[in-house]
Amino acid sequence: MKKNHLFYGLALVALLFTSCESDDNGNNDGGGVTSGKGCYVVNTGNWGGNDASVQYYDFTTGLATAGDSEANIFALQNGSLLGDLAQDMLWIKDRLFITLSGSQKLEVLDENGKRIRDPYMFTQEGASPRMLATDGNNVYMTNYDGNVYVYDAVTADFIKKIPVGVRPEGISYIDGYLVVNNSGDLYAYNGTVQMIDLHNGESITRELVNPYTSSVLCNGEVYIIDSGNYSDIPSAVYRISPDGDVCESLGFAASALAAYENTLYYVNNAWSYEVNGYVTSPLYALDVVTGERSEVLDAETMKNVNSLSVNPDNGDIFVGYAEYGVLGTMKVFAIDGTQKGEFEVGYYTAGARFEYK
Amino acid sequence: MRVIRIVVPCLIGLMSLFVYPCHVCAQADSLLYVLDTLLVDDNPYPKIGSTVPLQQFSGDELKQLGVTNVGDAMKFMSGITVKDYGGVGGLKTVSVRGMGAQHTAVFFDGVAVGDCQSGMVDLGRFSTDNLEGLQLTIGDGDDIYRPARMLASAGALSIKTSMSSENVVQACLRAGSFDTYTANIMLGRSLGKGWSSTIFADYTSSQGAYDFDIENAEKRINGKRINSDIETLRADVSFLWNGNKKNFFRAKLYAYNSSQGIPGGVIVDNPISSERLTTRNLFGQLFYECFPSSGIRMKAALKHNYQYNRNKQPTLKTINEYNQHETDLSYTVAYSPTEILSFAYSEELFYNNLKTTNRHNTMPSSPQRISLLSAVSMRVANSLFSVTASLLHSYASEWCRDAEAAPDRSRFSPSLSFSCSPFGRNSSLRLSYKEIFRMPTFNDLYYRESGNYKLRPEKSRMLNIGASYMSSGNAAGNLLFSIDGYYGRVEDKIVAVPGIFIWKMSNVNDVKLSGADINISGTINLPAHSLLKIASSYSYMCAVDDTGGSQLKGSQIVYTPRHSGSLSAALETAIVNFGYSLIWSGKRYRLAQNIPSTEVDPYFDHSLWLSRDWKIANATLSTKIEAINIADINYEIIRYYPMPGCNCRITATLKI
Repeated sequence: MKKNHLFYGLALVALLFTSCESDDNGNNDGGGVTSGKGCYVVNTGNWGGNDASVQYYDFTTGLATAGDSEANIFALQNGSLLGDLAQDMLWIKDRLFITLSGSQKLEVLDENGKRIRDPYMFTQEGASPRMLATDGNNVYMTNYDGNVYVYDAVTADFIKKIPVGVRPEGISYIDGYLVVNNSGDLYAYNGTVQMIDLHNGESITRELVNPYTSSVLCNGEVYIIDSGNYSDIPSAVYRISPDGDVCESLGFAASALAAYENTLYYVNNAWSYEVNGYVTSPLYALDVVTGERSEVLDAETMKNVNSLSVNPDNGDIFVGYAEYGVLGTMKVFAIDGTQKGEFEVGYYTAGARFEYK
Repeated sequence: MRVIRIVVPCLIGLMSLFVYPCHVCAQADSLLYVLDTLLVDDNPYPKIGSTVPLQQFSGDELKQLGVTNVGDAMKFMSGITVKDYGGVGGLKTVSVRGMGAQHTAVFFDGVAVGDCQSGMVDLGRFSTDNLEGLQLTIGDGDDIYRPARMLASAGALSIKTSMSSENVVQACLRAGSFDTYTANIMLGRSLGKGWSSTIFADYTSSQGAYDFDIENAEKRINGKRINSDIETLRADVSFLWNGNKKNFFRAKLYAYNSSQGIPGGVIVDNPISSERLTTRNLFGQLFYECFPSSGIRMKAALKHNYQYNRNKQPTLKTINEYNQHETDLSYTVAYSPTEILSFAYSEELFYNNLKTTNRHNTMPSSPQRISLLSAVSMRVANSLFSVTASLLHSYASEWCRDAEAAPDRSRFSPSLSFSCSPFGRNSSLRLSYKEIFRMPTFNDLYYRESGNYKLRPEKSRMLNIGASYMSSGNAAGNLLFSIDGYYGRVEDKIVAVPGIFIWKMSNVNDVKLSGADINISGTINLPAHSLLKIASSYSYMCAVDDTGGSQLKGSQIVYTPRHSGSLSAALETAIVNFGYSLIWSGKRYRLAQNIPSTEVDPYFDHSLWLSRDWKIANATLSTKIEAINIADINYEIIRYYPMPGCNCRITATLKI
């Protein structure tokens, strides 16, 4: 089965190439990949492996382009590897913004995966581009250098940087506010969550342990994961109101979040010394309005989960899986938990990305 | 309780030191020959009758290979893979038959030079300029008079330095490409009354900024290695006493200091490299050996090893400092009641600790370990056959500050080996079997977040069958041929497995090993007192994942070529000597999955050298010029770590 997916993926890529023969450089810089309805998948890759990748998944055909470092859409469009350790990707209008912490850069691509400009490099001491958010006009990027960098979503021009806390990770934009997870000093577990009012620049911080990369919007509020200290303090999901009035733990552990309308999806994947292995929970759906919780996918289905994403148009759930040493898998489930599709992805997928609307 | 468990076996062992002499039979001194511990004897070829695969290079042979460090020399041996991260300061580790670098123990003048943190030894750090020889054994051979620690790993690499009991001075200057300079001096002095001393000091410095050109999808990355400078200073002082034939004493002090950049792999679009590493290593060793009566031989050693590492990573804004101490006490007793029968008992007690300097560090729990190895061996041998059996008991106990420590471990490991010469003394057949395990390293167990104190040791088993043939030397020259086939398994391999937040060290997979090693070497006598020496090796290594139910089952494990080999040839004439060497490897995989994008290309590294010795009064000046990697390809042993292209070295060595 895997091989078939790869074959179709390659066949699709071949089609893309044949559809753009009019280009003088032989690359596809218009039309093509996103002509159908679909989403992108961004894969982190191996540390030092230069094998981050970006794929396109077509909802209608159920086929994805390759997740391989040398055959993914970036490599095919640009003739070079995407780079090392993709952290996050944002798709807004016809622009793809991708942060890579190993290559220490921000790439800006068109919808086909072709570079629209030279990447922004962040090679100063302590810098590492991390996560992305948008308000529809600007793109906000956290950087371990203690700033949020702001870019124009269309021109990709750099606008300014906003100083935040130590080693910022996850970020969300909501109603004129940025909510930033400052993970704190390395191994110190002195992280904070910071709410910044973009109108006047004022901010409020709340002390947490290690607020990490997850930050999702659900029912007008922000939900984040504090990963704990991987020892005696377990992870926890926090609900945060942008004005800083609310910052409360929901009282359960999670390692990945996704949201659809009023539903917060979460799964926990934590190391257990009792079983000497990772223990993965079922995928739960929590109605944040009513407080009702239901199991969507069982624990066995969630085993080896590495990422969680939801299609904002129809609520389809994209679960990325990663295992030691092999290319990953992405499974697509309908809102009721029935499987709709499966395809091969790159190493350690960071998840599916849908167009910001 | 822990103290009792350690002390009691030690006492029993120590008592045996005094009990053994009571059983002395008036046996021949010739048995001492059988139990010869000479690391690399005068014979330039491996002992034909060895019961296990044994490969060695003498000091002269090392010179013919055109290498300056042990890591590069190992590339000429069969059945092993050398991981080389490139450049003068690049890490070089050796893995025997696909078992992994931590399964090879390294002994420097008989002292284990392990690293309890990583379990690996950088063989690039050992210069070949002052070596008497190198020896690699796979399994427990017929030399049963060995410290217990030599039995405690699948492969043992012994590095022996030259020690002179006569007055000798040897000074060496070397200059090479990429601003690489080496100066070293060895002074041997006879101090009278059986005492002698040897001093070796070496200074090496290199900028290592070489150009490279490697593949990047359809494009290339052209660049220059940066932050690959290194400066090392090493000094080694030994005192020997060999006053009478029944007692032998050696004291040794070794100091090493290096400061280097860690260039890291080539990262797409990111030219920055700023990680720095400082290493200091100091060890002292007292060694005593005696022959209290015929048939009995004993040796004991006390060692302390201190290592300091300072790793600075500006991109993470971290500085990690590690202090490691190891204290090691060992003794070995051999007893030969009859000409064909020998017994040996050895014990080794060692203590390791690892401390870091601040709590927000990668190893906050300051782990400590005490290990006791006890081995009993027996050998039955005459001139046509040899049978050796050993049983090793390993015990280890660990504790940590404010953290769970690994449970105590206790395990027996047997080994058996056999050789015979049914067709005369020019040939032999051998068969050996060994079971052993490697302890998880402190990084595996206690590294912050990813360490897992519940790891099981990696277990290995290997069966080897081999044959050797050596032609009788005649006017035309001679030939040595050896072939070994093996089958083995490594179970519970330790790797990091992914989770969403953290990766955790786990016992994940099993590996099935099978392969063959072939070595052919010989000399051909040519007219005009010329001599052609040729040595070649070939290895076939099928090291595949054998984990039940895994989609990786059947995949060749990472960085292990199916086919690899080497060739070296030296033509010695009355005026000059020429040499050529080749190291080659078939394709490998950088990741566990064997797919085109994880393939690493095959490589060939050709080198040439030319040397001449000049007699000046009673001194000899040796000069040598080498051209390395003349094909000028930045091949990668490890993906994204390009090796230097064509480069050269000029060496002048004066010996008085």
